[in-house]
Amino acid sequence: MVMNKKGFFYFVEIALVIFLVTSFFFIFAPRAEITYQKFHDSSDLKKFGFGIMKSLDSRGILLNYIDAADMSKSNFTALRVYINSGLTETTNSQIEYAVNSTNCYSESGNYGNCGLNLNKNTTKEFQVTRVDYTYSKRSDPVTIHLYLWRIL
Amino acid sequence: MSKGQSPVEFIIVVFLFLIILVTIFTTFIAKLNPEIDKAKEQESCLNSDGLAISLLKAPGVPVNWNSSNMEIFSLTNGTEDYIYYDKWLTAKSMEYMNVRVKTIPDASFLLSYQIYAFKPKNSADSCPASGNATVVCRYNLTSLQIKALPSGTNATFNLKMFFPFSTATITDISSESDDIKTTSSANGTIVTLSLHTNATDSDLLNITFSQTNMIFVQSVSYKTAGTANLPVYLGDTSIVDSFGSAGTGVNSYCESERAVSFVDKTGEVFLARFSVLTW
Repeated sequence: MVMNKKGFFYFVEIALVIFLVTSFFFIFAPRAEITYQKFHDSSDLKKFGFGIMKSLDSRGILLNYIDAADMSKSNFTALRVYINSGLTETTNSQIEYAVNSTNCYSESGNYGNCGLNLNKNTTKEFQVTRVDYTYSKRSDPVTIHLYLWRIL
Repeated sequence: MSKGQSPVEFIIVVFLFLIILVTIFTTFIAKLNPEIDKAKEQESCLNSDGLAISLLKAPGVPVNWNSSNMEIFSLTNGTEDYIYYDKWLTAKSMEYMNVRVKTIPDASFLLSYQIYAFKPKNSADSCPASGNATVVCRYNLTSLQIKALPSGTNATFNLKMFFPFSTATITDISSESDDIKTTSSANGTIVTLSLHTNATDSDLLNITFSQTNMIFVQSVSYKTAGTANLPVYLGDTSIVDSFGSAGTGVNSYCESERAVSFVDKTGEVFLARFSVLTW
Protein backbone atom coordinates (compact mmCIF):
# COMPACT_ATOMS: atom_id res chain seq x y z
CA MET A 1 0.00 0.00 0.00
CA VAL A 2 1.32 3.42 -0.91
CA MET A 3 0.81 6.06 1.78
CA ASN A 4 0.58 9.78 1.32
CA LYS A 5 2.30 10.93 4.53
CA LYS A 6 1.94 14.56 3.56
CA GLY A 7 -1.82 14.61 4.25
CA PHE A 8 -1.44 12.83 7.60
CA PHE A 9 1.22 15.19 8.98
CA TYR A 10 -0.68 18.27 7.86
CA PHE A 11 -3.58 17.18 10.05
CA VAL A 12 -1.38 16.41 13.07
CA GLU A 13 0.45 19.69 12.74
CA ILE A 14 -2.76 21.70 12.51
CA ALA A 15 -4.26 19.84 15.46
CA LEU A 16 -1.11 20.45 17.48
CA VAL A 17 -1.13 24.15 16.67
CA ILE A 18 -4.81 24.44 17.65
CA PHE A 19 -4.07 22.59 20.88
CA LEU A 20 -1.11 24.80 21.77
CA VAL A 21 -2.87 28.05 20.91
CA THR A 22 -5.98 27.06 22.85
CA SER A 23 -3.95 25.92 25.84
CA PHE A 24 -1.96 29.13 25.78
CA PHE A 25 -5.16 31.17 25.64
CA PHE A 26 -6.78 29.38 28.57
CA ILE A 27 -3.72 29.11 30.76
CA PHE A 28 -1.47 32.07 30.11
CA ALA A 29 -3.57 34.82 28.60
CA PRO A 30 -4.47 37.59 31.11
CA ARG A 31 -8.05 37.54 32.22
CA ALA A 32 -10.00 40.77 32.09
CA GLU A 33 -11.72 40.21 35.44
CA ILE A 34 -8.43 39.92 37.37
CA THR A 35 -7.23 43.11 35.73
CA TYR A 36 -10.48 44.77 36.71
CA GLN A 37 -10.13 43.74 40.36
CA LYS A 38 -6.68 45.31 40.46
CA PHE A 39 -8.01 48.39 38.75
CA HIS A 40 -10.87 48.66 41.26
CA ASP A 41 -8.57 48.24 44.27
CA SER A 42 -6.19 50.86 42.90
CA SER A 43 -9.00 53.25 42.01
CA ASP A 44 -10.62 52.75 45.43
CA LEU A 45 -7.35 53.48 47.23
CA LYS A 46 -6.90 56.61 45.15
CA LYS A 47 -10.39 57.90 45.98
CA PHE A 48 -9.84 57.11 49.66
CA GLY A 49 -6.49 58.93 49.69
CA PHE A 50 -7.97 61.96 47.97
CA GLY A 51 -10.72 61.99 50.62
CA ILE A 52 -8.06 61.99 53.37
CA MET A 53 -6.30 64.98 51.81
CA LYS A 54 -9.56 66.84 51.24
CA SER A 55 -10.62 66.23 54.86
CA LEU A 56 -7.32 67.48 56.26
CA ASP A 57 -7.49 70.54 54.03
CA SER A 58 -11.03 71.33 55.13
CA ARG A 59 -9.98 70.97 58.79
CA GLY A 60 -7.15 73.48 58.36
CA ILE A 61 -4.29 71.01 58.83
CA LEU A 62 -2.61 71.85 55.52
CA LEU A 63 -3.04 75.55 56.21
CA ASN A 64 -1.42 75.15 59.64
CA TYR A 65 1.63 73.21 58.55
CA ILE A 66 2.41 74.21 54.95
CA ASP A 67 4.36 77.45 55.00
CA ALA A 68 2.62 80.03 52.85
CA ALA A 69 5.82 81.73 51.69
CA ASP A 70 8.63 79.18 51.85
CA MET A 71 7.84 75.51 51.33
CA SER A 72 11.13 74.44 52.91
CA LYS A 73 9.95 75.91 56.22
CA SER A 74 6.82 73.74 56.32
CA ASN A 75 6.35 71.32 59.21
CA PHE A 76 6.92 68.09 57.25
CA THR A 77 6.81 65.88 60.33
CA ALA A 78 3.37 67.16 61.31
CA LEU A 79 2.07 66.79 57.77
CA ARG A 80 3.32 63.20 57.59
CA VAL A 81 1.81 62.32 60.95
CA TYR A 82 -1.60 63.77 60.15
CA ILE A 83 -1.79 62.26 56.66
CA ASN A 84 -0.67 58.81 57.81
CA SER A 85 -2.99 58.83 60.83
CA GLY A 86 -5.99 58.82 58.51
CA LEU A 87 -4.86 55.70 56.67
CA THR A 88 -5.78 52.20 57.73
CA GLU A 89 -3.14 49.96 59.28
CA THR A 90 -3.02 47.86 56.09
CA THR A 91 -2.07 50.82 53.91
CA ASN A 92 1.41 52.22 53.54
CA SER A 93 2.29 55.57 52.09
CA GLN A 94 4.97 57.92 50.86
CA ILE A 95 4.43 61.65 50.50
CA GLU A 96 6.16 64.26 48.40
CA TYR A 97 5.43 67.91 47.70
CA ALA A 98 5.91 68.97 44.09
CA VAL A 99 6.88 72.60 43.71
CA ASN A 100 7.45 72.30 39.96
CA SER A 101 7.40 69.58 37.32
CA THR A 102 10.69 67.99 38.33
CA ASN A 103 11.55 69.00 41.90
CA CYS A 104 9.89 67.90 45.08
CA TYR A 105 10.29 68.02 48.84
CA SER A 106 10.25 64.54 50.30
CA GLU A 107 8.05 63.67 53.27
CA SER A 108 10.99 64.44 55.55
CA GLY A 109 11.61 67.81 53.86
CA ASN A 110 14.60 66.96 51.66
CA TYR A 111 14.68 68.76 48.32
CA GLY A 112 15.37 66.73 45.18
CA ASN A 113 13.90 64.94 42.21
CA CYS A 114 10.30 63.79 42.31
CA GLY A 115 9.48 60.11 42.34
CA LEU A 116 8.65 57.15 44.51
CA ASN A 117 11.62 55.76 46.39
CA LEU A 118 10.68 52.37 47.77
CA ASN A 119 13.11 50.28 49.75
CA LYS A 120 15.30 48.68 47.06
CA ASN A 121 15.94 45.61 49.20
CA THR A 122 12.35 44.50 49.17
CA THR A 123 11.34 41.67 46.88
CA LYS A 124 7.65 42.18 47.47
CA GLU A 125 5.61 43.38 44.55
CA PHE A 126 3.67 46.54 45.32
CA GLN A 127 0.77 47.90 43.38
CA VAL A 128 1.25 51.58 44.05
CA THR A 129 -1.29 54.25 43.27
CA ARG A 130 -0.67 58.00 43.39
CA VAL A 131 -3.06 60.65 44.62
CA ASP A 132 -2.39 64.22 43.45
CA TYR A 133 -3.88 66.89 45.66
CA THR A 134 -3.09 70.49 44.82
CA TYR A 135 -3.00 72.86 47.75
CA SER A 136 -3.60 76.33 46.42
CA LYS A 137 -3.87 78.52 49.52
CA ARG A 138 -0.41 80.00 48.92
CA SER A 139 1.17 82.12 46.23
CA ASP A 140 2.72 79.10 44.47
CA PRO A 141 0.36 76.12 44.60
CA VAL A 142 2.01 72.90 45.74
CA THR A 143 0.86 69.51 44.55
CA ILE A 144 0.99 66.81 47.18
CA HIS A 145 1.79 63.40 45.71
CA LEU A 146 0.49 60.74 48.05
CA TYR A 147 1.72 57.29 47.01
CA LEU A 148 -0.37 54.49 48.54
CA TRP A 149 -0.10 50.73 48.56
CA ARG A 150 -1.57 47.82 50.50
CA ILE A 151 0.63 45.90 52.90
CA LEU A 152 -1.49 42.76 53.39
CA MET B 1 -10.84 7.41 5.09
CA SER B 2 -8.59 9.60 2.99
CA LYS B 3 -6.61 8.21 0.22
CA GLY B 4 -3.08 7.38 1.31
CA GLN B 5 -3.86 6.79 4.98
CA SER B 6 -3.78 3.44 6.71
CA PRO B 7 -6.53 2.46 9.23
CA VAL B 8 -3.99 2.54 12.09
CA GLU B 9 -3.02 6.08 11.28
CA PHE B 10 -6.65 7.11 11.07
CA ILE B 11 -7.35 5.62 14.50
CA ILE B 12 -4.32 7.45 15.95
CA VAL B 13 -5.48 10.74 14.44
CA VAL B 14 -9.03 10.31 15.73
CA PHE B 15 -7.67 9.39 19.15
CA LEU B 16 -5.43 12.47 19.22
CA PHE B 17 -8.30 14.63 18.08
CA LEU B 18 -10.54 13.32 20.87
CA ILE B 19 -7.79 13.98 23.45
CA ILE B 20 -7.53 17.55 22.20
CA LEU B 21 -11.28 18.05 22.36
CA VAL B 22 -11.58 16.58 25.85
CA THR B 23 -8.61 18.62 27.12
CA ILE B 24 -10.01 21.85 25.78
CA PHE B 25 -13.47 21.08 27.08
CA THR B 26 -12.32 20.15 30.62
CA THR B 27 -9.99 23.16 30.78
CA PHE B 28 -12.83 25.41 29.75
CA ILE B 29 -15.27 23.91 32.28
CA ALA B 30 -12.68 24.06 35.08
CA LYS B 31 -12.18 27.77 34.49
CA LEU B 32 -15.79 28.63 33.80
CA ASN B 33 -17.11 28.87 37.38
CA PRO B 34 -14.25 31.01 38.73
CA GLU B 35 -14.64 33.27 35.71
CA ILE B 36 -18.36 33.61 36.36
CA ASP B 37 -17.61 34.52 40.00
CA LYS B 38 -15.13 37.14 38.86
CA ALA B 39 -17.61 38.58 36.41
CA LYS B 40 -20.10 38.83 39.29
CA GLU B 41 -17.41 40.50 41.41
CA GLN B 42 -16.89 42.99 38.65
CA GLU B 43 -20.60 43.74 38.61
CA SER B 44 -20.52 44.07 42.43
CA CYS B 45 -17.62 46.53 42.19
CA LEU B 46 -19.56 48.65 39.71
CA ASN B 47 -22.52 48.56 42.11
CA SER B 48 -20.44 49.47 45.18
CA ASP B 49 -18.84 52.40 43.33
CA GLY B 50 -22.24 53.49 42.03
CA LEU B 51 -23.82 53.22 45.46
CA ALA B 52 -20.98 55.19 47.05
CA ILE B 53 -21.59 57.95 44.50
CA SER B 54 -25.35 58.02 45.00
CA LEU B 55 -25.01 58.03 48.81
CA LEU B 56 -22.20 60.59 49.09
CA LYS B 57 -22.42 62.90 46.09
CA ALA B 58 -26.08 63.49 45.35
CA PRO B 59 -28.84 64.41 47.79
CA GLY B 60 -31.69 61.96 48.14
CA VAL B 61 -35.21 62.58 46.91
CA PRO B 62 -36.58 64.62 48.53
CA VAL B 63 -33.43 66.26 49.93
CA ASN B 64 -34.76 66.23 53.48
CA TRP B 65 -36.35 62.82 53.20
CA ASN B 66 -37.85 61.08 56.17
CA SER B 67 -39.06 57.58 56.84
CA SER B 68 -42.44 58.19 55.24
CA ASN B 69 -41.52 60.08 52.05
CA MET B 70 -38.13 58.71 50.97
CA GLU B 71 -37.99 58.09 47.22
CA ILE B 72 -34.20 57.88 46.71
CA PHE B 73 -31.86 57.06 49.57
CA SER B 74 -28.81 59.22 50.21
CA LEU B 75 -26.75 60.04 53.29
CA THR B 76 -25.73 63.54 52.24
CA ASN B 77 -27.76 66.71 51.79
CA GLY B 78 -25.84 67.69 48.69
CA THR B 79 -22.48 68.59 50.21
CA GLU B 80 -20.19 66.03 48.62
CA ASP B 81 -18.68 63.39 50.91
CA TYR B 82 -20.57 64.54 54.00
CA ILE B 83 -22.62 61.98 55.90
CA TYR B 84 -25.35 63.15 58.23
CA TYR B 85 -25.89 61.08 61.36
CA ASP B 86 -29.61 61.88 61.57
CA LYS B 87 -30.10 60.46 58.06
CA TRP B 88 -28.10 57.40 59.01
CA LEU B 89 -30.28 56.82 62.10
CA THR B 90 -33.49 57.37 60.15
CA ALA B 91 -32.42 54.83 57.52
CA LYS B 92 -31.59 52.32 60.25
CA SER B 93 -34.99 52.83 61.84
CA MET B 94 -36.67 52.08 58.48
CA GLU B 95 -34.98 48.67 58.27
CA TYR B 96 -32.91 47.30 55.44
CA MET B 97 -35.45 46.03 52.90
CA ASN B 98 -37.48 49.24 53.01
CA VAL B 99 -34.34 51.24 52.26
CA ARG B 100 -32.88 48.87 49.69
CA VAL B 101 -35.77 49.39 47.28
CA LYS B 102 -34.97 53.11 47.38
CA THR B 103 -31.27 52.79 46.52
CA ILE B 104 -29.56 53.36 43.18
CA PRO B 105 -28.22 51.03 41.89
CA ASP B 106 -30.37 48.18 43.10
CA ALA B 107 -28.03 45.76 44.90
CA SER B 108 -27.71 44.03 48.24
CA PHE B 109 -25.52 46.13 50.49
CA LEU B 110 -23.88 46.55 53.86
CA LEU B 111 -22.83 50.08 54.81
CA SER B 112 -20.48 50.82 57.67
CA TYR B 113 -18.48 53.71 59.03
CA GLN B 114 -15.86 54.39 61.65
CA ILE B 115 -15.07 57.84 62.98
CA TYR B 116 -11.27 58.08 62.91
CA ALA B 117 -10.62 61.66 64.02
CA PHE B 118 -12.26 64.25 66.21
CA LYS B 119 -11.31 67.49 67.89
CA PRO B 120 -11.07 68.11 71.60
CA LYS B 121 -14.01 70.08 72.90
CA ASN B 122 -14.11 72.90 75.42
CA SER B 123 -17.46 71.82 76.85
CA ALA B 124 -18.47 68.40 78.12
CA ASP B 125 -20.15 65.90 75.78
CA SER B 126 -23.63 64.73 76.56
CA CYS B 127 -22.86 61.11 77.40
CA PRO B 128 -25.18 58.22 78.20
CA ALA B 129 -24.59 56.93 81.73
CA SER B 130 -25.89 53.41 81.31
CA GLY B 131 -26.56 50.71 78.73
CA ASN B 132 -24.49 48.04 77.03
CA ALA B 133 -22.03 50.48 75.56
CA THR B 134 -18.67 52.10 75.86
CA VAL B 135 -18.48 55.84 75.76
CA VAL B 136 -15.67 58.24 74.99
CA CYS B 137 -16.70 61.43 76.74
CA ARG B 138 -14.86 64.68 76.15
CA TYR B 139 -14.74 66.98 79.16
CA ASN B 140 -12.68 69.92 77.97
CA LEU B 141 -9.80 70.74 75.63
CA THR B 142 -7.33 68.57 77.55
CA SER B 143 -9.25 65.64 79.00
CA LEU B 144 -11.69 62.90 78.19
CA GLN B 145 -13.11 59.89 79.98
CA ILE B 146 -13.54 56.30 78.83
CA LYS B 147 -16.58 54.57 80.32
CA ALA B 148 -16.92 50.85 79.62
CA LEU B 149 -20.41 50.23 80.98
CA PRO B 150 -21.72 46.80 82.10
CA SER B 151 -22.27 44.77 78.95
CA GLY B 152 -24.69 42.13 80.21
CA THR B 153 -22.19 39.47 79.22
CA ASN B 154 -18.43 39.01 79.00
CA ALA B 155 -17.09 41.50 76.50
CA THR B 156 -13.83 43.17 75.55
CA PHE B 157 -13.41 46.77 74.54
CA ASN B 158 -10.32 47.50 72.43
CA LEU B 159 -9.33 51.03 71.61
CA LYS B 160 -6.20 52.53 70.12
CA MET B 161 -6.04 56.32 70.11
CA PHE B 162 -3.35 58.67 68.92
CA PHE B 163 -2.78 62.15 70.33
CA PRO B 164 -0.44 63.85 67.80
CA PHE B 165 2.31 66.02 69.30
CA SER B 166 0.70 65.71 72.70
CA THR B 167 1.59 63.95 75.93
CA ALA B 168 -1.32 61.84 77.16
CA THR B 169 -1.66 60.24 80.57
CA ILE B 170 -4.12 57.59 81.74
CA THR B 171 -5.63 57.93 85.22
CA ASP B 172 -7.30 54.80 86.48
CA ILE B 173 -10.63 55.52 88.20
CA SER B 174 -12.10 52.05 88.22
CA SER B 175 -10.60 49.06 86.44
CA GLU B 176 -9.18 45.63 87.24
CA SER B 177 -5.83 43.93 86.86
CA ASP B 178 -6.91 42.14 83.66
CA ASP B 179 -7.63 45.46 81.96
CA ILE B 180 -4.72 46.57 79.79
CA LYS B 181 -3.84 50.26 79.60
CA THR B 182 -0.64 51.29 77.88
CA THR B 183 0.86 54.41 76.38
CA SER B 184 3.74 54.79 73.94
CA SER B 185 5.37 57.77 72.33
CA ALA B 186 5.98 58.51 68.64
CA ASN B 187 5.36 62.08 67.49
CA GLY B 188 2.71 62.16 70.18
CA THR B 189 1.13 59.53 72.40
CA ILE B 190 -0.53 56.28 71.41
CA VAL B 191 -2.99 55.03 74.03
CA THR B 192 -3.93 51.36 73.81
CA LEU B 193 -6.76 49.98 75.93
CA SER B 194 -8.20 46.50 76.31
CA LEU B 195 -10.94 46.58 78.91
CA HIS B 196 -12.96 43.57 80.02
CA THR B 197 -16.53 43.99 81.17
CA ASN B 198 -19.33 41.66 82.21
CA ALA B 199 -22.86 41.82 83.60
CA THR B 200 -21.84 43.93 86.56
CA ASP B 201 -18.30 45.15 85.91
CA SER B 202 -17.69 48.57 84.45
CA ASP B 203 -14.36 50.30 83.84
CA LEU B 204 -13.65 53.97 84.09
CA LEU B 205 -10.52 55.82 82.97
CA ASN B 206 -9.56 59.43 82.57
CA ILE B 207 -7.16 60.50 79.85
CA THR B 208 -5.55 63.90 80.15
CA PHE B 209 -3.43 65.34 77.37
CA SER B 210 -1.59 68.47 76.43
CA GLN B 211 -3.32 70.60 73.84
CA THR B 212 -3.74 69.05 70.41
CA ASN B 213 -5.93 69.98 67.47
CA MET B 214 -7.06 66.47 66.59
CA ILE B 215 -7.36 63.05 68.23
CA PHE B 216 -7.25 59.92 66.08
CA VAL B 217 -9.09 56.66 66.72
CA GLN B 218 -6.77 54.16 65.04
CA SER B 219 -8.87 51.11 65.87
CA VAL B 220 -11.93 50.43 67.97
CA SER B 221 -14.14 47.44 68.78
CA TYR B 222 -16.37 46.27 71.58
CA LYS B 223 -17.18 42.61 71.18
CA THR B 224 -18.78 39.91 73.27
CA ALA B 225 -17.16 36.51 73.62
CA GLY B 226 -19.46 35.41 70.80
CA THR B 227 -17.99 38.25 68.67
CA ALA B 228 -21.24 40.23 68.56
CA ASN B 229 -20.60 43.94 68.24
CA LEU B 230 -21.65 46.24 71.09
CA PRO B 231 -22.05 49.99 70.61
CA VAL B 232 -19.26 52.49 71.16
CA TYR B 233 -20.09 56.17 71.41
CA LEU B 234 -18.29 59.47 71.20
CA GLY B 235 -20.67 61.53 73.31
CA ASP B 236 -24.01 60.33 71.98
CA THR B 237 -22.76 59.53 68.46
CA SER B 238 -21.79 55.99 67.49
CA ILE B 239 -18.09 55.87 66.64
CA VAL B 240 -18.58 52.73 64.61
CA ASP B 241 -21.78 51.39 63.11
CA SER B 242 -23.14 49.38 60.24
CA PHE B 243 -26.41 49.10 58.40
CA GLY B 244 -27.60 46.68 55.76
CA SER B 245 -28.03 43.01 55.05
CA ALA B 246 -26.48 40.56 57.47
CA GLY B 247 -25.31 38.08 54.82
CA THR B 248 -23.05 38.51 51.82
CA GLY B 249 -22.74 36.67 48.54
CA VAL B 250 -20.33 33.76 48.70
CA ASN B 251 -17.62 34.80 46.26
CA SER B 252 -18.86 37.86 44.52
CA TYR B 253 -18.91 40.79 46.90
CA CYS B 254 -16.96 43.99 46.46
CA GLU B 255 -16.12 46.84 48.81
CA SER B 256 -15.57 50.52 48.17
CA GLU B 257 -14.06 52.66 50.91
CA ARG B 258 -14.08 56.44 51.16
CA ALA B 259 -12.78 59.05 53.60
CA VAL B 260 -15.68 61.31 54.48
CA SER B 261 -16.81 64.02 56.88
CA PHE B 262 -19.40 62.88 59.39
CA VAL B 263 -21.87 65.40 60.81
CA ASP B 264 -23.46 64.57 64.15
CA LYS B 265 -26.84 65.75 65.43
CA THR B 266 -25.37 68.98 66.81
CA GLY B 267 -23.58 69.81 63.56
CA GLU B 268 -20.09 68.89 64.79
CA VAL B 269 -17.96 67.38 62.03
CA PHE B 270 -15.80 64.29 62.54
CA LEU B 271 -13.59 62.51 60.02
CA ALA B 272 -14.72 58.99 59.15
CA ARG B 273 -14.03 56.01 56.94
CA PHE B 274 -17.13 54.90 55.08
CA SER B 275 -17.43 51.52 53.44
CA VAL B 276 -19.96 50.18 50.93
CA LEU B 277 -20.06 46.42 50.51
CA THR B 278 -22.29 45.09 47.74
CA TRP B 279 -23.00 41.74 46.17
